[in-house]
Amino acid sequence: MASKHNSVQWRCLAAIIAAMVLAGTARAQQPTAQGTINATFIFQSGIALVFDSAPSGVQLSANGTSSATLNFGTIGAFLTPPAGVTQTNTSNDFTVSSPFDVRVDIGGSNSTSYTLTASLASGGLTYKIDNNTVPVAPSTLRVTTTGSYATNVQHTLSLTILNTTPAGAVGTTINFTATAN
Amino acid sequence: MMNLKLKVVTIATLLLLGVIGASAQVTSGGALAVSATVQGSINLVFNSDGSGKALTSGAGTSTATLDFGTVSAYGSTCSTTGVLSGGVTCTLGSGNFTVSTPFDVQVSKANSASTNYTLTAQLGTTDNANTWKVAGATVVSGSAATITSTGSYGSNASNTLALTIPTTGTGSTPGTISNTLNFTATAN
Repeated sequence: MASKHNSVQWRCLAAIIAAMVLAGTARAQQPTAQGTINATFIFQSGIALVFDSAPSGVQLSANGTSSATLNFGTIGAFLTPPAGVTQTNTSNDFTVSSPFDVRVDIGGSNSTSYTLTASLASGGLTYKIDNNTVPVAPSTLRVTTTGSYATNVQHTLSLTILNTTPAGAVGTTINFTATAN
Repeated sequence: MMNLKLKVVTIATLLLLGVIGASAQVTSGGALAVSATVQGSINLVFNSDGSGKALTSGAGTSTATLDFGTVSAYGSTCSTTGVLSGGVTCTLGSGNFTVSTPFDVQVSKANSASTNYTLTAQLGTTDNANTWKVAGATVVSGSAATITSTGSYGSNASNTLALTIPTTGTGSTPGTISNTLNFTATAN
């Protein structure tokens, strides 16, 4: 009886030892897998245009973006112009003006300058940039052909109002396009 | 032959890509919204009248000076001809004399539907000795006097400034007489 009991004990012990050995073997052989990602991209040159407020001009809304607003405020032929606005009068009309900045940044290109064009989304009043009349699209005004990258380039926007123009809100959108030379 | 065809196709493809690459312009757009609120306004200026004493200074502006010069009821042409020099007329009254001269007021308007204006005047400093009149309306310091309520825009309107000076009693002492007349034009 005692020998039979001992035999069972030895079998159990052997089983336990065998199990431990198998567990160790499994832990030492961790399965792995490998994969490869071939990443490719096309680096394309690009430029980005934004508007900035000029130090002495009207403060733009959405300053630093490509979609900004220049609001001259309340103006009148015989009124004092708002801050940042200069005014000249003739016998028939008055002109208000304000400087603003355009900044064009570039990446991935050897271009050293850009051409800037502008056009009005809608007509009615006379808008000028740097004393040149901005036409209604699809015509465009060539504002500059030698724009410098990565720096604020100042321009002057002016709006002429006839003395016969009824009082009220006026405005339009001027669309700009910068093209790398 | 197949290799030659492949080479030709490859070269053609490369050339096409090169052309596409060269003609593609790099651009960036932006939109600047411009706005303003136009408000109607009027402007008043003084001008010399062709028949009157020329403004001493400030013609064409809203701040002008009119110097009658030296005036006297007697011992001058006033007592005989009623005319002093340079467009000033004078009239002898009972115990006083009046010197007068026309001057022009021009009111301009812009961006307004108003068709005429009202003009008022008020004396800057109280003067209890002399009488100031503009276009026949007595002008005092206590309140504004209406000169016209149907002023026409864009043209010189002649108005006569008259100063009555006593020759006897209070205020008849010779000396410098000066004052400021404040005009206000209001769009009707």
